[in-house]
Amino acid sequence: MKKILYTAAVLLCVASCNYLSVVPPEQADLDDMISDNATALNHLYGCYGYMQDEIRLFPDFTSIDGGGTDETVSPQEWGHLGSLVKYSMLTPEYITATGLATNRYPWTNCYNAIGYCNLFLKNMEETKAEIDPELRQQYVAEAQFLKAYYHYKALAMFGPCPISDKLLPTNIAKEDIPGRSHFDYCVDYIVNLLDEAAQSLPSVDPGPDYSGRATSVACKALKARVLLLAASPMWNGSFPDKSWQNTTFETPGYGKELVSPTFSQQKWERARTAATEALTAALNAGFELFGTEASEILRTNQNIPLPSIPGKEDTEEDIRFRTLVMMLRYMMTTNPAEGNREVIWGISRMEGQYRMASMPHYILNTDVQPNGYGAWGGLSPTLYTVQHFFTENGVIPEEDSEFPSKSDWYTSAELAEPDIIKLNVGREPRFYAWVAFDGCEYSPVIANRQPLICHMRDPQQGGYNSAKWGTRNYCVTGFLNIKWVHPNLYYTGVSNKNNSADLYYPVCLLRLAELYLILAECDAWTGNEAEGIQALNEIRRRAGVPEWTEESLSKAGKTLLDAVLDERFVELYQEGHRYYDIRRYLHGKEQMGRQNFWGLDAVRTGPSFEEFNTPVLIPQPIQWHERQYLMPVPNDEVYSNPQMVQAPLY
Amino acid sequence: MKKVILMSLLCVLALILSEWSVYSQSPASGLNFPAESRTVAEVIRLIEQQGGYSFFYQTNTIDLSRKVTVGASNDTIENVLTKVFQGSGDEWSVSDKQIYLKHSVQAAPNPPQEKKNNKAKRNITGTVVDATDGLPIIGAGIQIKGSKVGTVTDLDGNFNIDITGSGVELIISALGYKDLPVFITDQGIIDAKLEPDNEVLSEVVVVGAGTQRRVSVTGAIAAIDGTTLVAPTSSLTNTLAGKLAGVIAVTSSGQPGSTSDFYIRGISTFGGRTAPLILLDGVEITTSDLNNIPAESIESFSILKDASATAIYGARGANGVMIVTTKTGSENTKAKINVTVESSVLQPVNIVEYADGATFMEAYNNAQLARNPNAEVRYSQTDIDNTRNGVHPSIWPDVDWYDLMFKDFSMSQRANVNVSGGGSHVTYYMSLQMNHDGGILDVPQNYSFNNNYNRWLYTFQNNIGYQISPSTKMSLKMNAQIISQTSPSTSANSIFQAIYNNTPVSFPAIFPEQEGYDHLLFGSQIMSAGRFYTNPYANMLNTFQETNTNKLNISVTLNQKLDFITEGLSVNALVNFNNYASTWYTRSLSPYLYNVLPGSYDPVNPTTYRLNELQVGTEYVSQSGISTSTNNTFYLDGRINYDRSFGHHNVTAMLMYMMRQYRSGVLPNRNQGFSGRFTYDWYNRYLVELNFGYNGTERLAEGERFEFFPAISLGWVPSSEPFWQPLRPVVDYLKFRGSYGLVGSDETGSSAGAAHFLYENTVSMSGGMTFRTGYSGGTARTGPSVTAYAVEGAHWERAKELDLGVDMELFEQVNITLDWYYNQRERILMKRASFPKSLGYASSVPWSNIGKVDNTGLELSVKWKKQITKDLLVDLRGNFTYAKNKYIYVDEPDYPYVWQTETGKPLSRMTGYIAEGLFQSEEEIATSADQSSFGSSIMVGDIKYRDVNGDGKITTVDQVMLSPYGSMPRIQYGFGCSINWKKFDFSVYFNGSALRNIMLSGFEPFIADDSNDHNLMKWIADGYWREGADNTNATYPRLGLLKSNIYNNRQPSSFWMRRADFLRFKTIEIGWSFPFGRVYLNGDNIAVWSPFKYWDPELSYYSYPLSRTFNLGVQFKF
Repeated sequence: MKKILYTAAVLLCVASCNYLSVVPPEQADLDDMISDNATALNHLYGCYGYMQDEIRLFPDFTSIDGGGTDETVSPQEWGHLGSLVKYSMLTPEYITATGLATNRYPWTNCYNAIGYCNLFLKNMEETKAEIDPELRQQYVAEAQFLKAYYHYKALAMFGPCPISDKLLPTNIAKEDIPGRSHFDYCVDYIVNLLDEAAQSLPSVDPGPDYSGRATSVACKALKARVLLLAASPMWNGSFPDKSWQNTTFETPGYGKELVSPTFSQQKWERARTAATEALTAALNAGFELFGTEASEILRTNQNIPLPSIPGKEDTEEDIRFRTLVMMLRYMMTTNPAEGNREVIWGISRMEGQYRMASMPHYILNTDVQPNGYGAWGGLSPTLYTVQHFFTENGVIPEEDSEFPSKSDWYTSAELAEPDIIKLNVGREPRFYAWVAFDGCEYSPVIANRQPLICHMRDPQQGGYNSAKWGTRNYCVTGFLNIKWVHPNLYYTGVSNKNNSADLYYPVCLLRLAELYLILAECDAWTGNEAEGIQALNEIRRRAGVPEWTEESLSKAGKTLLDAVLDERFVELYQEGHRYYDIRRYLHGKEQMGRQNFWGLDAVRTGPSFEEFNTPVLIPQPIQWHERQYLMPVPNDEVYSNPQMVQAPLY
Repeated sequence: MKKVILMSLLCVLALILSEWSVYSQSPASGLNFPAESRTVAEVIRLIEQQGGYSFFYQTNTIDLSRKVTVGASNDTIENVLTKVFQGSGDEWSVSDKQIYLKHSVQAAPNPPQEKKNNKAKRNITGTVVDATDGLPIIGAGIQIKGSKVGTVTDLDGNFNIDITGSGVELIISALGYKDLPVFITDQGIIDAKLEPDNEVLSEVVVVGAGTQRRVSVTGAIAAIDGTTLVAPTSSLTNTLAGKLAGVIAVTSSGQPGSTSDFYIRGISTFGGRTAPLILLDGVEITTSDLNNIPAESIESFSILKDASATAIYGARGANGVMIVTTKTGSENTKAKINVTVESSVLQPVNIVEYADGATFMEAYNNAQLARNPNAEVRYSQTDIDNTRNGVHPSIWPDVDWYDLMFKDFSMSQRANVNVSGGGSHVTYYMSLQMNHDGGILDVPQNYSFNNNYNRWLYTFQNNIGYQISPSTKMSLKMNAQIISQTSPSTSANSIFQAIYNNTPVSFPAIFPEQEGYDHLLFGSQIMSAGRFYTNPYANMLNTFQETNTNKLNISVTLNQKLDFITEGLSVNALVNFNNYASTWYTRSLSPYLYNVLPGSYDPVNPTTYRLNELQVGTEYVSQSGISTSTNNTFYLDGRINYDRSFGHHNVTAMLMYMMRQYRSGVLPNRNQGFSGRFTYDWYNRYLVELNFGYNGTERLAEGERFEFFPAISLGWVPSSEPFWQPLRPVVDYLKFRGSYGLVGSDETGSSAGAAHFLYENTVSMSGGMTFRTGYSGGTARTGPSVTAYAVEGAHWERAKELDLGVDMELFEQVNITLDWYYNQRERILMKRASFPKSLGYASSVPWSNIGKVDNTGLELSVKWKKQITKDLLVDLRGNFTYAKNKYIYVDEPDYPYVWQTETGKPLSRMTGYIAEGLFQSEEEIATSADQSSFGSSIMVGDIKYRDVNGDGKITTVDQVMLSPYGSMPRIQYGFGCSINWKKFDFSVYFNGSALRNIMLSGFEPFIADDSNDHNLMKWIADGYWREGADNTNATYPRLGLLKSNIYNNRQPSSFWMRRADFLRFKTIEIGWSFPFGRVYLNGDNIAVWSPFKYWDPELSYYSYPLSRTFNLGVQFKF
């Protein structure tokens, strides 16, 4: 009997030996990630996805580099990274304690993106699938472009950064984890990637569906931007903390040094060469500055009246002016098929958040909200911004002798719309295209094809009224943003609907105007004054402000560099450059202190004209701290990587 | 004769213990019957008939069939009895009309003799043997009754003892035998045969995959009867806290049907499953299954705590095992019917209080001005006054949301019927229980649906055993649970949290009915374009869910005795199917939201205000389809058992094969393996037990699936040793136990999100980012992603467990069990936390079996039971559990300061800054460490932190472990007493937790950053820091409206840490028994004492509150 039992037990075991092999049905493994051209393309799109998904590796008003500037403020209640960085709150403590480090912090996002690109490149190399050799080459080049872009993001925001060229083994020893590389070494690494990628990429989009992907012109333009950064004072001999260096990790050829302590003119030359090359390549590829020719076709087709501008009538000159304003709004919201050949690299995204943040909280009465419906109306240009767009004469109001004196700025211009103050009259087209103020027309069609006038004091409309509009959406400064709001956007008044679904456009990350400005800046540093002025004037001419000459510059007591930087502030307003421009020139203390942030006294219910038009310090805990030249890495990066050093002063 | 048959074991025991009198006067007239040959039984019958006597004896001790030839002619009873029993070895005594018969222990005939007053000292020798097998009993105690003189038997069972005079009584006792009293008259040699005490020796304890005699248990096992768990609640798990040493139970909600989490010996891991394995009649069930089992159906409840007890479950035993056995009927008994009906009133208690509207408004304005003195305050004085005076509830609302939304009490009912019994071949136990629990949501009459909690639970337990042949038994056990419940489809927490996420003054819950509207007019306000504040009342009312759940658990067991092969051998097999199915659907209404049209209110004519429709609701209920969730488990085991005694050598052995499959999705979870047990004891005195489990899991790669988990335990019972005799009056039982072994857990990493198959890379073909190209983003593609990389050398989680324990009984009244344990859990699967983000692994950071946790603790349980007088029985019991764990290895970054690391610290603890009070002055801020890293500008009244590392800055590195005690209590205890007096019974029970802290976090009275306002809790309103006031006892720092303003104060710090020890007056019961039953009144959760006063220390402020319950019940027994 025992024998029988024994046999039975053995049989039972043998019969069920595979009981635990719950073999999963054919499951994807690493080598299945690329099995043909299509899956390879999916994988590549995954690399791009970090640009566009919720994790956005491009600047907008919520991001550190998009919102963390003196261009705009938003209600403190919103609490975006862009505000927090202005409050000097983004410390390693904050990043760790709030869990930012694990999801929304750009450091993490950049390196996750780079890691994914590396995985893609590894899979492309190892795949046994048959991939079209040309496509393979192009996909690899695109991934290299992205790797360069993501490294550039890390470099610009965090300073000298670890280079992640390959996916490191999962059992990597702590001592082998790379630390920060020397800034110049990082620059060379990025430039090499871009140079290499440019060779295998088309110069322009081969078709509309390609739009958003890498081109050789984009590689060159990005290279020019990277080299401009490298040549700028902060990274070219003027880095504030001379003692900052690696403790253990050594960059090949640089030792423990992280930032070169000496100025090198050669860096400017190199940047200029790159800018010239990029510009040439762009122009050869057919890129051109957007102009009224294209915009007028759009405006006519979309049946939009010319915007009404304070002080502008229907004279030929005024109509030209108003046409320019319209063109500048279209410039940001139009795709190549509609005649916009300026955008070198633009990606499509839902820009709803930007739009909602910008538009006033009263647009119109609707059937479901008879008492008024609108957006959030909180993205508020600062008084600094308002004061640094040019006058019609192409200089900032303070420097324009023909402009009303500073003491009169906040008094009524006594136009038909009496709320308009003198500061807001006689300004350049870009001001009217992108900034809204009390009494202005926000858009000619937004309120069910009717114009919307911004009544910024009226508590029932654009004014502060926590009882009606809530406590968290209000205009902080009395000014609103218009850039990125499509000129043809309108609300129908029925069920709070609008036509935004028909108004997709690529958001530009690189555009031709930036290349002219880069070139002009490099020219200014390399003594090529005439060429620089020429490049700068390309922008001014298009914007409808008087061009600079060497004479007019010297008459105004300005250097070319001053003029270029002034121009960058205006032309590239809200495009994510200001954050770096302030840092490149080490202007943090001058620009980003508590005392620099002024607005009108708009956070009051039903203020009088005088009360409203009183400049006040923005009641937010804005402060500049020298550490903010670089963003910190999360604490755990330092703790888990013996080679990593924290940014100075954190 | 009838009365003879009625004699019970209890009667005999009483007899043995009672004073034994051999003298009595003849009370009766003479007996008359002729002398002829009769059996003793016949004689007894004659005497009973003639003299009206009753005989008492133990049936199997008196030879009733012995023939005697005795006659009587008006003889006294004594004379007759003397004749009948002369030379038989049987003793008799007469007391009134009762005659006691007893078989003498002496082999020699020894008729009762008169007591002699002989003071001479003499020596008595004797032998003590086992009455069943005649083998000598070593270490049996011989004691002179009423004195402290005593001795014990030697290795051959021999003893000698000096006595003085005759008429003394010796008590002979040995563990596992009934005590035997021996009268000493003039005997010199005593041969005592001890009857095995079935009550002690046969008392079994349920252990892993079988039962074991209690005396031979060496593992750490705690057991209680089902009746101990009876409480007026439909959640069995809510009654576990403090009932069993070694169990830590945590209640987190008072929602009908909610389960409490419980842990055996606390928590020993951070990666995998922490809950114990729960077995109902040998098969695994879930905590919620357990929750639904009526305490009446539970025969016993065992907790296996150490490796020796759980190694048999190798694969799944590491967190301890809870074994629940249901009742079965007894053979040859007539049907017993129990009926219980109860009705309870539940009153929610210990609820967080919120401030009234005017107080809220004042505090809000204060908060606004506290950070921006020039700000325009949100509420004018007129608003505040009008709110305070209740001028117009629609214009100046002041809503007490809690009062509006919830009832003051709810009701529940319970009925239980069970029938048990058996015939010669069949035994049965059948139970049907019905529970009905109501909720506290105050839903208006005639609303579209009534979504108040309403839960019906039916539990069936059906256990049938059939003796197919004398050696074959088959049994069927079936547990069925049917739950039908209606509720809101939002979670209870979100309903209670909604009150916190609103203010009392923003809008009225509901506007008064107005003409022209046929729906409820819920109040709200605009938050931002197209978004409105959630109305908590609407939020509560607008969803409905009906859930129907069935659970069927069926086991069939076959037992076959194989005594024909060799004695003591048997096999059995068990097959179990456990099916769960739940279906639900939801209904919802979108509320109509209104506010008062600004400017439309006219104080002169207050009814004229106009409503502004903010959100158009839905007229009709929208209804979802049916959703279903199912899972099923199949379990099979086969066992060979061997249980035999060779003299005083007792041997048991068990070998088991098991396989199990659990399936809730496509891929099942499976286990397979062998386990076994071998026990040996000599005289129930030296005990050895060996256990093993050899199990496999499908989660690991072939070749690495199986692992061997052995355990050994040893026991020694010194109280059975001869030398213990002098101590026996004090310590009558003492056992030392020790065990060491390995146990596993194949669910490692499960709670942290590890992959199912650890040995495979997991790739999601559409898990990557999506990118859209084209001018309008028309071309979208999504990349693949690596979800997890295969774990290098993946393993089970494994625990090494050491246990040392003592069981003892003092004065035959007090039982004490004490256990100390040390467990080390290792190979806990965790994500490599030390990987910097810059390596770019994103969410696929590799996993590794590297975590290690130590857990050590102490458990004590004490029971005292005494029959004080005939009518008074007192039973006191208490138990105490202390469990302390710590990380031995956890992969973490190399922190610069030791106080930042987790390694070496308890799993549950409090970490934060050391608060040094609130800043008193600007100077103090200026001279203190820089707190700017939190970004908010520091003002007087903000919390000041200690600069632990002395670098002049407050940064993360200044966070320290504030207390080693976290929200998981280190100590849990319970105590209670029950008193029976005549027909009354009374009991109380208390349980408590100690060495426990909670961190208040997230209580910002007015945070305006996120989507909803916050409400002002009363404790904050009463104690917040105020400018210019005496703030020495401020419970809340300087107010602020925005996170960025008060970020400094939001940090975890000792300012927010609260001691949350508590003692709960858990139950009280008063009952009165009558011949066929009992009525009782009991109460649950009567009171809580805790240093934490804001709300129930065990719950969150947003939990469904616990209720104080009063329950009236009646039981009938037939």
